[in-house]
Amino acid sequence: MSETNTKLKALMADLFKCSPDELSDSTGPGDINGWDSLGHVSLMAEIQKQFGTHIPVEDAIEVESIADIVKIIDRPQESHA
Amino acid sequence: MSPAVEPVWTPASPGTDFAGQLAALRSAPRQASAGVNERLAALHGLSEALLSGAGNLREGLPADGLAFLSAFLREDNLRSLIAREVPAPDALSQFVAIGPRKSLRLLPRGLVCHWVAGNVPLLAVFSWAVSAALGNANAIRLSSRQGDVMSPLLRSLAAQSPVGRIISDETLVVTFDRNHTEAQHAMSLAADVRIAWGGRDAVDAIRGLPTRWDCEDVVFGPRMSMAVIDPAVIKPTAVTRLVTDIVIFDQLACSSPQVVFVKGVPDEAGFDAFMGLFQEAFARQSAAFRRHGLDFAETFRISLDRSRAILSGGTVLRDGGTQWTVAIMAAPADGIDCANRFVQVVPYQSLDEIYPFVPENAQTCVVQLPPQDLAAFSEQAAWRGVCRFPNPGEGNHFENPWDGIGLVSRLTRFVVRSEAGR
Repeated sequence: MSETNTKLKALMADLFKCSPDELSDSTGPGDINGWDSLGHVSLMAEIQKQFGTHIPVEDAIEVESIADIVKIIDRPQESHA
Repeated sequence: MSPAVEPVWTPASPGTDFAGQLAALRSAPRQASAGVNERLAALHGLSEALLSGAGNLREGLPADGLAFLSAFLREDNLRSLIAREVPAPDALSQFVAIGPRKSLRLLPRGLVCHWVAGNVPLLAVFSWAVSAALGNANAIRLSSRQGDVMSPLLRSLAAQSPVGRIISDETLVVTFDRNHTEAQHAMSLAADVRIAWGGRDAVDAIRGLPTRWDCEDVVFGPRMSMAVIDPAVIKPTAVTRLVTDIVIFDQLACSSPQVVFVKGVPDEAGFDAFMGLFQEAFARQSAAFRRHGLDFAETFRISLDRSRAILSGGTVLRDGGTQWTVAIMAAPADGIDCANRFVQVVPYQSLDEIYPFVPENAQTCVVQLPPQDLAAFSEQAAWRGVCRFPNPGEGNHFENPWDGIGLVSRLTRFVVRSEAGR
């Protein structure tokens, strides 16, 4: 498991008040308590704070799993333009 | 103040009456006010406050809109929104070279007056946030049919930081009857920019008010939206997102699809598989997103339109009550009111079959097509009036441009300077 993956799951366990064991790479929005639409925006905000990665709304909408988020965090950052 | 103008949020140093308040807002010196970076940071702070739920900020705001709003107010989102339209966003802070000979500076236009439709109250917040970020003062007339979505936000903003205080002090929120001629005229005559949200009657009434000769008009009027889907390239999760675009604001938003064109023919495997997923998603998402309570007329209209669809040769898929309806039709039926989670599905085999049905007031077309089809369809449909081609799930995300209008250029003055010594 990558460092990003481990750090993300710890962040999510803290944010959604669950055990990291409940989170697998295929866990997606709606699979755990609190990961609703507002929880999703909160998660994107926390990722920006802890990883310094801005996830555009268009990408955030298409997130289907933790594995998707890891891919976004690990890809090169886009500029605003 | 005229007794029929109800103040909702009043700046710190108001004038003596409504016209006086507007005049004070318009004439307040903007130059010494906060810069765009500080303003974006303050609005970002408001997003943080929405996410944390601090100070009961979420009360009075529609739950389904909270995620939209908090995502919209993020600094990165607002910067992207500006950068999408302006070649040199730094021009909002200083003169910036645009080529070897010229520099550009963007300045706020002054007082932006917003007339907000009652159907989607959060729209006021979107246009206000962009306007405030760009340094304008704002006067907002809320519809008497809607709750006050602005005061909790402005109160939070004012308490958050000195710049938040500046923005809230530059904002006046009122409500008055649409027939209050004196108030309508006062607001219109004070405006450097008028932003009108609403149906045909509402926007026509606002456009007919007297105004300054140089006032800029931004009209977000009655629009219609649709979707075009190729079952061969849509994933089940995207079907759910498409249905969310339809159900989340009960099709009260202009950007909610009313007709979905689906490639294929009924009884063909690909088409039927899509319809199965579509139907399941409707049942699931209709339960997930609470709907406003239907009145008798709305309930009756759904039953009537189901009958009309069947009598027109259509097939109606529906729940046991009036929660959702999918009518599979050979062609879109004009007499059917696609509202309150009632959508028409029209099969197609060639994209050419769709173009005659693109209305001239088309706004959004949610698409999921193979790349070559997307390129061909978007070019043709854009010429017929479509302004946006978002992916499923993005249909109702307010973005810039909206309705084909670039908000930043409408809300700022573009100042050009030749470089010295040239």
